[in-house]
Amino acid sequence: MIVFALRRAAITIPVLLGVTLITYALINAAPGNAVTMLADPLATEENRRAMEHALGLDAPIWVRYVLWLGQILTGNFGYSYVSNQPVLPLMLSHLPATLELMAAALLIAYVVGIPLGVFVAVRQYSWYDYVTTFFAFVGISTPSFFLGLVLIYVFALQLNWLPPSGQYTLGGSRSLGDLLTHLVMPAAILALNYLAITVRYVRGSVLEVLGQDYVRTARSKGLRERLVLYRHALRNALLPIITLAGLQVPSLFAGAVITEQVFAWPGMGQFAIQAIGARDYPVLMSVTFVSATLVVVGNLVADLLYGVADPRVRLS
Amino acid sequence: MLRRAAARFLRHRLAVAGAVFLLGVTLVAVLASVIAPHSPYDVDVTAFRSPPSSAHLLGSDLIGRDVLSRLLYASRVSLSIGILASTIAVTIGTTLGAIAGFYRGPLDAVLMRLTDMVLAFPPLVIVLVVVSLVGPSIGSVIVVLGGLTWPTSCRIVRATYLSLREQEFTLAARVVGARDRAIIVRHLLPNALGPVLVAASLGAAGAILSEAALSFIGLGVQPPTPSWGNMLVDAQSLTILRTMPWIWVPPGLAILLTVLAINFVGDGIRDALDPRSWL
Repeated sequence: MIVFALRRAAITIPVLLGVTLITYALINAAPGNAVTMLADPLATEENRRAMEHALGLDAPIWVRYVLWLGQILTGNFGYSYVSNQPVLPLMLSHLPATLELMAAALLIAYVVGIPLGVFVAVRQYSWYDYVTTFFAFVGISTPSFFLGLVLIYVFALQLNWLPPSGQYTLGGSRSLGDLLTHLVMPAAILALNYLAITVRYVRGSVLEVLGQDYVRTARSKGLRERLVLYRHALRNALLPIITLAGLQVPSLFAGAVITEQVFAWPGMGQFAIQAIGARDYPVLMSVTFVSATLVVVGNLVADLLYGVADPRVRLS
Repeated sequence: MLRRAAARFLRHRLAVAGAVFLLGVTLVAVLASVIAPHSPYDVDVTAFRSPPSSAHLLGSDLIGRDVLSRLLYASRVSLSIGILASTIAVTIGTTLGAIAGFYRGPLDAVLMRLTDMVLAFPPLVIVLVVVSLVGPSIGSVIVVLGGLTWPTSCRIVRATYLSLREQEFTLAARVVGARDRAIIVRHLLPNALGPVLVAASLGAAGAILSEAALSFIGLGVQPPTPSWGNMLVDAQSLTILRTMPWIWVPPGLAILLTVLAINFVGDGIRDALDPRSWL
């Protein structure tokens, strides 16, 4: 297990380095820089150059990259061009809201998706199966922001059941109940895509396991079908869900960006979009880098957990 | 074999419905200038924000442009972005995937780490950043989406080539002295057509959704050019969302139905070309 874990962890290092390289190259391809942003429009060319020098922008790109990488490793993500505050605390203050949203979405996707997937798998080619498949397709084909608008229209504007946006009521008590009423719509929207994929995945996985010899053995021993399904089949059928979760982290994060925009949810996505508008590159660079790192680490954790859950993986 | 596949595809009713729908959308896109009742840019000063009527079948938008005409013209933008971005992605992905799967070894390892790096960035986040750098336009959206979404098809094609290269007909081709290039292109590629087509359909669906999302945020197709995504931008205001559903419901449904149709067609192709699914 330790060898497997180390080998798996080792291949993430070049990927992470590549991620930093791509991020840094991207930001350097940007037109304009901090000086364009900060300098007085009437400043002379000389003043601009002095400013560039003061900000260290005139060094060769590889020097700036190495310096930047060194700073990242010590947790210094630079200063926002806009607010002049350090980026890391700013980013960390937006991270919990996004993680909250992602966790709630995952929870919804599993609580609904796994039972539904099992339900339709044991009724393969039934009416339920076709309807669920159809809606799974609708789920992966719906633009999340459009469905978000529909939900706001129905539940917030017409029925007045839920608040249309934000994380807490302004000037309210910031209670858990208040948070949940604000969370339910964005979390449902973010969950939709993943829910659809989970149902299809669980269905396929359960069907595959039900066709295996050990299930036939369990059945021929005379075990009740419930017991065969839940005690024997489900355990193995749900293993691939671990990998699926790891693979879906990136699209979940990307979905959160749009969802946050629709529901004015104060997380990393809003933070990033504001930074794009303001050409706040240190912030943008950091958000991109941190989200990519989350993805790489998420995949690593998923693979390691799979190794713990299924010893066969460790051998290959 | 192709005839059998076509017969199987025709038995997949949703796929056929999807194909028919896509054909319709394509016709609309091609004939937009003929069938649209108004110009998508003309402002009707007698009708700002007017609800659907005989003059404007789907109403008019905030500055008095005909919503139906804009919707019809926008299909051009969305379809071309879907088709072109997916073509770019599949071309890059198939080339690199075929090379990686055929040669294996260090070249494969390098290419796979490269796909890992690109895949590490959340899809929309990286596209947002790059588009904001190069400046939003139809062209930049196509190039950025195509240039950043190829790893999916690359992985699919690589996996197919890994199994194809072990089969006897590859050995046979090698025995008669075929060069690598000929084996990769002439002998293996036709056998990888199914996965490539599926990857292309997934890519097109994804590109249309991404364009819509980007334009919705304001970083995609720029007004006054109509796109299904940027027609929804105005609905970010709660007043418009509440009182003028004719502005934002039609483009949203257009995206949903088009993407759904592409996904059904993709599923139909997968079923038709994968004999195992019929055993």
